[in-house]
Amino acid sequence: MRQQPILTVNNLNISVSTPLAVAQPVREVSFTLQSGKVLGIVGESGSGKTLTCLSILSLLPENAKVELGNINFRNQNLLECSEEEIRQVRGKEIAIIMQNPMIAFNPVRTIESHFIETIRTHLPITKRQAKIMAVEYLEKMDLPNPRTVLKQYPFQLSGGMLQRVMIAITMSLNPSIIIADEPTTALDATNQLQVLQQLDKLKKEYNTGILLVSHDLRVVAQLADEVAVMYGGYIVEQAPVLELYNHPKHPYTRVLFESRFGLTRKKIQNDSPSSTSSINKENKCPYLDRCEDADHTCTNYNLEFVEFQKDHLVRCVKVLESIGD
Amino acid sequence: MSILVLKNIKKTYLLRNSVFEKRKSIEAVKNISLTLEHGVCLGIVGESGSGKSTLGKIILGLEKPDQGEVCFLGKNLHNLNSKELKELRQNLQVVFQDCYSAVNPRLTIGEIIAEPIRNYKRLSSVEEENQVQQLLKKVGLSPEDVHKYPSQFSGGQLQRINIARAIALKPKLIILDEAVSALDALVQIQILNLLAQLKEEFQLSYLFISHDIQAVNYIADCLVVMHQGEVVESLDDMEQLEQLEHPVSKKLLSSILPPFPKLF
Repeated sequence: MRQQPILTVNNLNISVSTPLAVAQPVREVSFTLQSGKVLGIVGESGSGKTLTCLSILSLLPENAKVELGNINFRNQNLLECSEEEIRQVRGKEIAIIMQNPMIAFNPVRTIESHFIETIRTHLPITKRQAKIMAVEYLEKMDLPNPRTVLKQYPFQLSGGMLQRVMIAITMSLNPSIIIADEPTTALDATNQLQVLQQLDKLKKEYNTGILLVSHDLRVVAQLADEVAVMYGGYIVEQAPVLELYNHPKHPYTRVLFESRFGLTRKKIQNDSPSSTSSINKENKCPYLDRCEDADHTCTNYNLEFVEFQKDHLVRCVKVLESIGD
Repeated sequence: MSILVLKNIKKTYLLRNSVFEKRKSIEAVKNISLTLEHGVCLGIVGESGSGKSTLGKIILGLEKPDQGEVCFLGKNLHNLNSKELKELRQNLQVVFQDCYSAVNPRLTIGEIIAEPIRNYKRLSSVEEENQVQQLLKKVGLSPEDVHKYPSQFSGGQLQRINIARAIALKPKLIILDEAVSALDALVQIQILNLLAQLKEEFQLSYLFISHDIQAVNYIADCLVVMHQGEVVESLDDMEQLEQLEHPVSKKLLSSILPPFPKLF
């Protein structure tokens, strides 16, 4: 039994033109997000996670372009919206939390003016009312002395506090979707746990849909209901979180699992080169050069999803063979 | 003889919020004493703001301590004339967290790695190029990369270049200040493996500063936990990690996310 999804991304392809060549960092990406659910996207740097997120809000850099596909929010195709229409969606309906809170704030303005600007852009209320709202949401984020925090400048707060202020600003408009792009990467371990707890609280209290992007499987595991693993621009495996953890099928997903160290001191073997080329003209399997299981069948594989189980999709021809056996 | 001995190091910064306020003093490092033996990797963990990086800067001689002495290879680092200091400095190298700002974007990789060599040795250009190419091979990059610029590399590759520069003079001690924190999980392991291998090969000692107790546990031989400028707990054998007792250490351990999905 499935709810109507609030966000549907269908066959998204993004190209980036550079002086030397045209690269395709995002290919055939499709996913859906439901309210009150968390979709985790995991992948290494350069796998196309961030570009996918930016394209949802039409925030792509100038040299990047959506070639194909559509992004539907409720019944609106976000790619065909005018600049004015998308401004109404940004912040109010779909909000984004960036990786580095230090850069996302304006250093010469206080936290209070950030709050008031954001709230008053979307809601018809006075400055005084906006300030009361700000205090209320800062309290919800468990920040000590919200009134003092409002008077401070971004550089006077620590990274973890700033990231919680960011979540508070985001939440004050009660958006239906939050895109959290590596929300904890810049934070230390204790702050990371706090921020994750806050996001979990939001999801339960406000029924917000969260798109959680990270390179760290452990972060995603704590919150996500469903996980998509990205590699070389493709989603290579997609499954509910427990299914993925119990039966990782794509060789890359298995490498990701082996690279969690936890508290082991045993040396983990991992020599494969990490750079992936996003040019890939022949549309071959992006993982081919690194894959240990690869053989002649892989070169002719047309990269179609294999359904290993219901809701568990894998982009690997080897899985097809294992089902056949 | 120990390679590095810190005796009662203390460092205070003066800060003020506006021009009209009186300066407030913040004790970043309070009375720290440490000893590091040859060929050992000492891990320093702590939350942000616990004084780890200040301690690293004092050991490097980038900051002068208010009190106490830093003895590196038996000499007090903050009590030398410039000639002696230069002599000693080749044995002391550093790798920082932000690999992009640690390299000059207008120099090629070859020039970046050759810089410390040019400071200390007189080599012909052929010899120099040979050395640089060997260093690149050591850190797992291709020798043909010498003519590329930093912007053409990923974060993990740049961190390898920073490591190549750090080992160029065959130092005795390398300070790794959050050297892997900005990298993604797979690349972190590759860099940590590289560091462990170089440590064996060149008999290096490391001072590994990080907030990530898992990375420290993976590479370090012994550990100290810092909190608000003080060492609150130390451990000589990493196998006993679970036995850490101080509340700060417990908090660090409990903030490690479990590898499996939590069933909410």
